[in-house]
Amino acid sequence: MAVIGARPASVLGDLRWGVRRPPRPRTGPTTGGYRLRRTALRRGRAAGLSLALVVIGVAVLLSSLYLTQSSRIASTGYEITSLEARLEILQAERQELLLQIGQAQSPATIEARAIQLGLTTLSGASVHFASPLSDRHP
Amino acid sequence: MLARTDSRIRAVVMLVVASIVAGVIGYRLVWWQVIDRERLADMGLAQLAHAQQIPAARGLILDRAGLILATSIAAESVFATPPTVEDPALAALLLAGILDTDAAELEATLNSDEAWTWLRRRVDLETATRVRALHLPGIGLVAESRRVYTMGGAAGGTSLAAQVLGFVNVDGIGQYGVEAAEDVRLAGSPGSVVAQEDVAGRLIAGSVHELEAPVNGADLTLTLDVGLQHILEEQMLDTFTKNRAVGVTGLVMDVNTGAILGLASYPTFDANQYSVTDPVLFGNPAVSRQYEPGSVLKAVTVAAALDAGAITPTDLVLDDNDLHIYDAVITNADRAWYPEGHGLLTPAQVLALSNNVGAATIGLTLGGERLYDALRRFGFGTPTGVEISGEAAGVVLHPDDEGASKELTTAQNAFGQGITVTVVQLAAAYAALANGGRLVTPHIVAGWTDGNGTFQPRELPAPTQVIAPETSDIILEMLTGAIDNGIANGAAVAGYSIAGKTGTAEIAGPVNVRVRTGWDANGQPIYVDTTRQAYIEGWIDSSFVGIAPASSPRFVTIILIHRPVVGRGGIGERPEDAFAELAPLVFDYYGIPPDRPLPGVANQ
Repeated sequence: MAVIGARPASVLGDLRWGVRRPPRPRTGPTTGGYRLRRTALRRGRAAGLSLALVVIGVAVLLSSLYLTQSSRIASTGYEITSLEARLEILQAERQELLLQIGQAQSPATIEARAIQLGLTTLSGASVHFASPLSDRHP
Repeated sequence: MLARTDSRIRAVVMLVVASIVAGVIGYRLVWWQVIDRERLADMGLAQLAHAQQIPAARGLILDRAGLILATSIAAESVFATPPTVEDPALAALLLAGILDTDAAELEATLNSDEAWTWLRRRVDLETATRVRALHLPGIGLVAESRRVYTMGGAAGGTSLAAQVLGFVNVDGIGQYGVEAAEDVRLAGSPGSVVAQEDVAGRLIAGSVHELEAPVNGADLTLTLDVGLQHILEEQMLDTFTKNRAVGVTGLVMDVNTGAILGLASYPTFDANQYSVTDPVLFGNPAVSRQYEPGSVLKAVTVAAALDAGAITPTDLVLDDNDLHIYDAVITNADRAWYPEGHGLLTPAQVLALSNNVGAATIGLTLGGERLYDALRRFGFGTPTGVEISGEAAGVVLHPDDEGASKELTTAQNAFGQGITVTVVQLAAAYAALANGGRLVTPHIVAGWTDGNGTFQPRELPAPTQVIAPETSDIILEMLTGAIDNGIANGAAVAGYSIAGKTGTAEIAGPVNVRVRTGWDANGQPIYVDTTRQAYIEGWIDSSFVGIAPASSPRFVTIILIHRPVVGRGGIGERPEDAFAELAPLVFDYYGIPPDRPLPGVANQ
């Protein structure tokens, strides 16, 4: 039952698609123009579906890329943290080695070690020099 | 038809409204994303990102051969946030054992209202691990570094060259010595990073907003020779002990460059234990203590007079042991043996006998103005600029200055009184006497290695010609005679020519005196006890300056004994005797061959 002046099912729908719903054929066989319009409508809907699928696909792709990137950033962060910790350990070991080198090079350490080995310390009075002006060494 | 038209109008209205709304939203989006983007991004970042300081590594201190004198090692500092400490009494008890502190004091700290406080700075990693293992709420650790001085000194409980190097305090700032004087170069500059942090406080990769890399401190190379420093420290310890002195100082400097090869004083300290050391020991007496040099300054007076043409080496001055200036009388140190003086003396004899009257006469002959100019030219009264903090300038008075006594000041200065100097200034002056008359700059920093590994030598000012080379040759010969034929022959070393001069000066100090201020009503004198600065009996600075080998000078050596115990037979070990013990070791260390025939060896 047609109601004169009734609103279309969706104003936005009409506005969105720009296609006015074809009038219902009153009598007789369908004309060629009507078939063409229905075909165009179907193609339009198919195209819309395809577009939606493409949009969804792109969105999925972008999301995947974003997730991959985020995951990589997170793993890189952990890797950096791990490397930094390793660097700190190595630096601490280097500092400790420098300290040990310095201590080992200390004259006091060397003197103590020399005394342990049976050597004796030198005093000014015990130093005697051979003269370069002597007859033996003209 | 009317209904259809009405529907279209409503649709258009809705479209317009939607467009306006979309436009407003779009405008705001453009505003937020484009126009005001930077400010809003910064606001957002400020909420998410945190700034962290990246500490710069402090540079090493190396001796002239690259041996490590000072380095930094990893350490951690323990802090507390008292409001979040759950059981302060238990935490204090547990921490006190590990941190070696008083539990009650620690508990008071943990019960305080402070939001945050240090408990112990720069503990070693083992201690830090033990603290961390307690898992105490409100107790945390921060990574820092700790300065370590690697080499032990000649005496137990001391570190090598402690008063030369200084130390670094808990805040990482150099104190005293080279650490303070070269703090900026050694410390570098910290960097900073602004980035987002995760819940564990770790920086999130890719979130770095600002990054300023730290510039590590340069490695400082000194002119100091660790081997010689050890020899010198052993000698100073021996001299210190024999004299039961308040202090001794020894310095060995290259006469041609001003490079300080060894500098030692006793008593000294362990720079690794500075927090439990008497701060009096932190300064370096060779640069910070100014004293009256006494007779060692006579060589400068004679050199200045010769150089100015006021005297010649063959001129004679009269010593009658009785030189009157105003109401003062200048006499000689050997007045007990030569009460009438030595008669006529050459300048060389004045130096050999260390004659006060002769030196004062030469000074007066030169004149107060020219003697003052010469003393200033030799560097007295001005800091040398040596890279050890706390350097004193010394005091040189012009004869006409307020507080000076005109000719009396000139006469006193001529033999080293009424003037104060530092050991380093004196070394530079004697180096000029020995090296052809050039005043070199005493220095202890040879250069530094920057972050690129490039060694930058320290730029020194060009030496100043303070006396003619001929005058230098003459004075060197006179000073050699002072050892060979003079009262300083204790400094002689068999096989080597030595030039040098001894000096003894009284020390002024606070003296309690009773001063009459008037008379009372009964005619009795009124006395007031007060303190004055005056020379104190038995307080002396005994010093020796040696140049070796005199035939081709390489080193100037100063040994200063501050307030030795003076007995009937003099002091325990005279500085020239200490020099005679030290010099052969230095010759042996540097492989310097004898320049004179050795007694009993030449004819073998």
